[in-house]
Amino acid sequence: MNKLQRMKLKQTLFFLEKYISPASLAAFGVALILLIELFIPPYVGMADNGDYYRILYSNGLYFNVPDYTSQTLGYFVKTFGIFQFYNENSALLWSSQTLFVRLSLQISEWFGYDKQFDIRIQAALYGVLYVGAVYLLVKAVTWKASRRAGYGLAVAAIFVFGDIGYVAYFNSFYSESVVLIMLLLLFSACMLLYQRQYNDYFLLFLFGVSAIILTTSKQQNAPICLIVAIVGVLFVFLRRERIFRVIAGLQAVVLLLTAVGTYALIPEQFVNINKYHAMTRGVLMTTDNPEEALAFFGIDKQFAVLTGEIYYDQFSPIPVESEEMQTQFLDKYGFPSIARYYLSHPDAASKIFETAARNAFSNRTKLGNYEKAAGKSFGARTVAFSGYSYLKELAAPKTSGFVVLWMIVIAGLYAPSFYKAVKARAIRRALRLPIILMMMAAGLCAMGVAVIGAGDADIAKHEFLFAVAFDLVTFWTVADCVCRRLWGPNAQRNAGEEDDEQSLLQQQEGQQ
Amino acid sequence: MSRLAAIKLWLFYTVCLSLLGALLLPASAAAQEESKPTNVLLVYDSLGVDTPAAGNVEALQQLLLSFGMAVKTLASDDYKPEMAADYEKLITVCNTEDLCDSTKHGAELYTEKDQLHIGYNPSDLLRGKLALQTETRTRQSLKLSVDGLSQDNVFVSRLDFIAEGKGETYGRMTSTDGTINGPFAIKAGGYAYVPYFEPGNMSEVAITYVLRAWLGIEAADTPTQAYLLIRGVTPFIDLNRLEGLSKQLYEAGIPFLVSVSPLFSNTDYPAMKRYLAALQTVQSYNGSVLVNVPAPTSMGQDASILKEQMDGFLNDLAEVGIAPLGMTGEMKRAQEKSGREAGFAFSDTTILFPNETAFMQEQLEAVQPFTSSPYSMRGEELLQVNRADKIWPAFPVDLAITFDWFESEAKQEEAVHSIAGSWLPFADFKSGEHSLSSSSHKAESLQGALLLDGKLVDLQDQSNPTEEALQVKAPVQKESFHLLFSVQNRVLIVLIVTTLMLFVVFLTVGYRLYKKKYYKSGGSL
Repeated sequence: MNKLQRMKLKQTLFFLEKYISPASLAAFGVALILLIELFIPPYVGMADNGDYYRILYSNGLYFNVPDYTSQTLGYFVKTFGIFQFYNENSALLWSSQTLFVRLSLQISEWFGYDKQFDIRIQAALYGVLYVGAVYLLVKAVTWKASRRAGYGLAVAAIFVFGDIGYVAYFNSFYSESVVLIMLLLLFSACMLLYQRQYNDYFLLFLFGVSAIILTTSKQQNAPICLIVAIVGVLFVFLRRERIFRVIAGLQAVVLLLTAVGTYALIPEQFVNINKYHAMTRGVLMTTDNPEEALAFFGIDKQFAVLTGEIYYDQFSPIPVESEEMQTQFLDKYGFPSIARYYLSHPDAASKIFETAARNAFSNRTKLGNYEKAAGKSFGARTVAFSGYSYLKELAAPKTSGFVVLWMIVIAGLYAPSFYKAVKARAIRRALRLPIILMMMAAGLCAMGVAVIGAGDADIAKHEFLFAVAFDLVTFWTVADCVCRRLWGPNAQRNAGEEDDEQSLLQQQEGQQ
Repeated sequence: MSRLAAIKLWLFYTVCLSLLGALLLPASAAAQEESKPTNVLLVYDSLGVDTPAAGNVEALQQLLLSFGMAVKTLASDDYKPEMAADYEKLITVCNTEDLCDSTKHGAELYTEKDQLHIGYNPSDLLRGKLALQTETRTRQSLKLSVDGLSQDNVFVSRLDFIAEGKGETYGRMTSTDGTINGPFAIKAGGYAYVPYFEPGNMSEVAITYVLRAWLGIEAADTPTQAYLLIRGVTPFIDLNRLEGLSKQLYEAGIPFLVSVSPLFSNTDYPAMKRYLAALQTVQSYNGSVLVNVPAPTSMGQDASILKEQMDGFLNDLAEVGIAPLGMTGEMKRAQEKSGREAGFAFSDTTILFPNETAFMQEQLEAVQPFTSSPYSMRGEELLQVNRADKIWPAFPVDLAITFDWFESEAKQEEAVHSIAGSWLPFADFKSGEHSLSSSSHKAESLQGALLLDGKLVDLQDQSNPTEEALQVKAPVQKESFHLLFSVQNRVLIVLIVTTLMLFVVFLTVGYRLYKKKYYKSGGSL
């Protein structure tokens, strides 16, 4: 770079800084991608994989496209009918996603669209929340960063979090959109608390709300709430005020109860699909002798022929919803017995973990992105704004060893500062490692639950939480490296931890 | 031979050939005309879902196909009177009293051809032709009877029974309180009326008599047959029990059919071998095998995949000496063209079952009949019927009397006992002409003989798979660099053991040094 170019870059950065912060730039960039992809034809969304009816019918919506079934898996459908009469469908699935669907429905009715629901209204609602979450994340990431690093990170954030693999979910009824937004908000709230950028009470509230919505968005997230609750307990010691401690303590208890409640509310039908896959695409596929594996669960050995089958197969020797299948096969096992099987069969466990790791770095599913009217082929996926997904899928070593190595390296990078903070008894400074560990554990947990609970069926979608957690942690670590917040003489100052120390000193002096 | 004689001979030949041609040509045209099935238009007002009448439209469709008719089914909303002109016969069904005005109106315009009305509100035309007087009764317990067969306590909530009429009558219906006493059906010429038809009771048997007469089917040279069909044979049932059942039926002298579910994946698994071995046993005990075409799922079906997969399964069967003689499947499968071509294309012998769930697809063209398609009727329902004599009368149509796979040994015993004691004259399916062709094999039956690829199937030839073949063999993994890794393993073991030993040595030395230092310092460090 010659002098003139350097001058021009400086001028650009100076100009940008005057009018737009890195966080605003990232938020604006992501908003622009959302606008282009989701709201300008050809609209991008996600095809139904057969799961929609659960969330649709219980919320007063129905499929009103005549050839809807033939579009399943291949085409994105953007309009749905709104029930005009009493909806007798009980809630098939209790999920926090219901809140967003109902709110979108309300907005639709405010605008006078009370017969037909356009899913883009929901996309707009999610979009607003997501842009806010990206803003907070980049605000935390670029804390005390240099101008160049700040804008660089903002552009990187647009590249990673504006990827179509993420934003296409907003034009769908999958709960992954809620998981994405809430995980971003949860992580940002934790890091902002660590950095003391905003009011602690506000951030504590944001942490609690996002954790609860995240957990209840999907039944498989129930164990994640337990992990989040542990970090929630650490927040109790952030401040000395009794009111803060009571609120933080209560919040941790609520999170624990939410975890239990979410697990208990799993509806039957939901269990069956995943249960079927857990056996046919999990246990039976990872064993050399399917008949022996079936004997472990007390199932007739003839069911070995179901190895590799999927619930939505076009042809099955007996219908998967039949009573025989229920009594002779599905009723014979559950999540605990499958977990026990993997624990007692390490070979099978390592195979399934390997399968999980192989698919964990894929942000995109195989579902079609375009409407049928767009004239694209069945199952066609968009390539626009998919650079990060492709890069990740191409470059990430898809092995379980890499996942373990990644965790060790990241934890190792943050361990020294954590040790120092603990030694200095500065709880806020010590938060960074537990937050990172929380994200990694949540990702790992999601991965485990996905493969134990549903085998390798639809795995890219089931491991979505791991994919987001991986991206968030890696992005944060890269940002810490770029901003020299991990090592070097100014690491503590760059991370904003000196301010914390000063305020601590001031607090102590004040008390004396 | 003189020239004149040659001309005479030539003329003689020409005349003979012309005469022969004149005799043969109209005959072949007539034969063609005869082979074309009669087109029947079936118009219904509602399917009567969740009412006792549910399934009667489907049952009629099945019956018409079993009688060799081509049938087009239409909802009365889609029916236009001029449509009837393209069909030889019209059947109207009124399941809901206040829904059949349009059907009634349409039927009145259609005066020239044969008409049969089932249910409420017969048209004025029909009333006139049959001099029909009907009376309405509600909440009645009926006794239905036909041809020496009867059933008591058939409950109807509302009924228009035939009080008076002119024509040939079929069966009787009487109520326990005596307020109903009339024929089950009445027919005069091409016009007929059946006031009541619900599948699952005696009316299902009785209507076969009326339909046969109304369709004008003459008694064939060969009498109609009844077959015993066991449904729901899948790879997951108790296969030992299936073999036991086959033996029991064989010993009771009852020939039978089984409708088996195809298996499309993992066909090299021991489970498949056991399944095929059980089907071989079925065949060896005089059982005939029919292959069930899976019903379309809610996720839709790709017909081309189905055809390929069915073909694969049929070949699998043939390769172990099993000769399937036809197909079975739900009615809806026969209605959709692509599904029918994919699933039923292998054989012209097909037994149709009622749909598991209410289904009516808009039909663009008439459903063509199969060459052989016995009408399926549930065994439990037929065995409830009382009869005047021990011997059953010949049914008007070929019947496949079905029993679902028995849930338990006790239920199986009970069913076999009642089948054996029913005196139903079950026929051997193999005595009829049936054939099934897959891409590599052809199975056929002729006068009791079972042929596979033109050769007689040896029914005693069971290739009882050895226990060894039924064990799952763990796949042998290909080993690369075996030598290198085994050397590496040994080196690592040596290294680890040496390190551990060194560790123990250092620990011991360190402990001693520390102890010495401690003692030297006088107990304080």
